[in-house]
Amino acid sequence: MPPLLEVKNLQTHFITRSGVARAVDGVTFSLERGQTLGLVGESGSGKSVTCSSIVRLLPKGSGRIVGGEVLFEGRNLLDISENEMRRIRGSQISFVTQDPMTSLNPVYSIGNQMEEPLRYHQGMRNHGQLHAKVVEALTQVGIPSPERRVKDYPHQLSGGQRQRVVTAMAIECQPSLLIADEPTTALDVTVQIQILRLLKDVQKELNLGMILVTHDLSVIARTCDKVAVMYAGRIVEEGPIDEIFARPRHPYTRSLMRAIPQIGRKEDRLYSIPGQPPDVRRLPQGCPFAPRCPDVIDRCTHEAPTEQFFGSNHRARCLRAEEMGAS
Amino acid sequence: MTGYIVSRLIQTLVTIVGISVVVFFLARLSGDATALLIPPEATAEDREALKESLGLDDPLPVQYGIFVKGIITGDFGDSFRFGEPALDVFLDRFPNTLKLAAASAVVALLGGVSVGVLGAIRAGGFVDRLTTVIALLGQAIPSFLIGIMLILFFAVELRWLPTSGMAGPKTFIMPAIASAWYSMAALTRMTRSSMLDVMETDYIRLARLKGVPERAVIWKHAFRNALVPILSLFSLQIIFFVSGSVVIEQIFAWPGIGQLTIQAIFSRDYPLVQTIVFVTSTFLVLLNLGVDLLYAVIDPRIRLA
Repeated sequence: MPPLLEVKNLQTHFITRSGVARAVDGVTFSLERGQTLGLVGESGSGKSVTCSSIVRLLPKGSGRIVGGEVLFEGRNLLDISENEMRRIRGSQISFVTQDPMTSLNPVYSIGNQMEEPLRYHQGMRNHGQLHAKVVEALTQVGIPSPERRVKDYPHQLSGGQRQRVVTAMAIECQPSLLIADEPTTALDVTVQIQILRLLKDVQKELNLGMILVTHDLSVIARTCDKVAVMYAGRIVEEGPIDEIFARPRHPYTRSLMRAIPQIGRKEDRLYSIPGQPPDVRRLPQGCPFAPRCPDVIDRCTHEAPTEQFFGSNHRARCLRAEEMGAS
Repeated sequence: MTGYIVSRLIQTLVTIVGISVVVFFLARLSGDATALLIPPEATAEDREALKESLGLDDPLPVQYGIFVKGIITGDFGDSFRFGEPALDVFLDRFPNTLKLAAASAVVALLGGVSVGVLGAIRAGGFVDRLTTVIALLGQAIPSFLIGIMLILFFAVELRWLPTSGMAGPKTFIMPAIASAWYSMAALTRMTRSSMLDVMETDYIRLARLKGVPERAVIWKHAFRNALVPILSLFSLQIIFFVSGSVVIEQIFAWPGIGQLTIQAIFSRDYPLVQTIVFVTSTFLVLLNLGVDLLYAVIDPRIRLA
């Protein structure tokens, strides 16, 4: 049986006036049902574009998938018609978006918006049936008195509740893949933990494959089975969670870990990675991380690193990956 | 919702009272009515007698009181010029203006919205650029030129439509298009930009991520959100239609209130001016009230605030 999702050498480019931006530049990973993949990286590293590319919903006009394959249950999503793709969105592949404050349509009731996936994907028309299904989904995500919430409008709900509604909407049609694109970034810290727990529970219950996009490694540590670290449109390191945290092979991964503040560790100032992520329209020759890398050597500036494997499922794209693991 | 309706009703009432004051005093600021009604060689006594017969010798507050009483009882006094009740003179013409206004409003709204939405969903494409240029021309070309061009083409050259007058549905086509032209262009631009703003939002993205078909994304999710600014502009445009355009009426020989208003003002026909301005304004204020209530229907944030 093919894996749930297999992304092979995916390339998504944005054609802009000032040149071609290689937002996603040869991304490869796979995911099984029941597994959670954490996708980390700074803003602009290509995490979100990778997710949008999987369901082929890129900003109109400029963004284009120029190469690679997205195999979902063995079928290449890049080959199917737009109409077939639409039927997969929201039924087999669902999204939990970043900002619950702006993700719900302000002029329609919660119930009305939650009925949509059922109407469009399951052809459900019966009012009583729809209502029962919506209430059931709201109960499942822990919304109190769901019967009444159905008639409410988004502005009457708190941020945390709205994110629960978005999650309920995503799982209504029993998807097999859930993509959560920074689902907690816009929420209060206490609510963040609740939402992460909810996503985790939902995933276990439905045995979903889940992609969790975040720039927060501590979130990854708490929820994921494996991690892919992205930098400048590529996965620079990928592996099982304990492997990566115990023996990070890429200097960028190591820097990200150093940037997590820890209680008890005495430091004058918080660590941050110097410099800015590179402009994906003008990538330097050699390793794109070289200008910011604390472990840079001469070779890095002119020789592009290839992937190196450590064991069967840990890989890193660094010339010095071998020695990094040893230290 | 009830609070919203009550507050809008009170505002409407206050506005109508305000209109009655402004209309009354503005008419009297236009000059002495008797000067135009009496031959220059008339004596001072003749003048006084005329003033007395018209009720113009009373103090202003008393005259205003009579005016307000007249509004309530539906008696706006007799037109100085026509010698008939001013309301009758006005109501003789007003329905013609309203019919044309309705036709123009439909043309402007349907045309503006459909072209605007089309431009927004094809943003940057050929259709979009074409409509932007047409909309710009629409706002730049004066309506009398459009009117004359329409007559030249459809009435004189093709002989499809009658040149002027008001008789049957066919005669509405050209005047409605000519007077709707400017508004349609403005509504096109407003619809396009309002739709473009909405199409960029997160909830449109989520609707697509849910697998909502594109047609429902546009008309259900986006359009209703884009509608409030479009309606605001539209309610302003209606003013031009309802108050009647002298230019359009002149070109198409339309028996509306535009001409009547100008004549009434020039002849200082106070009762007629007061009637025209007061009734038309009140009609528009009520129309605006309707639009305000429509906002509440469209947007629950207004309804439930």
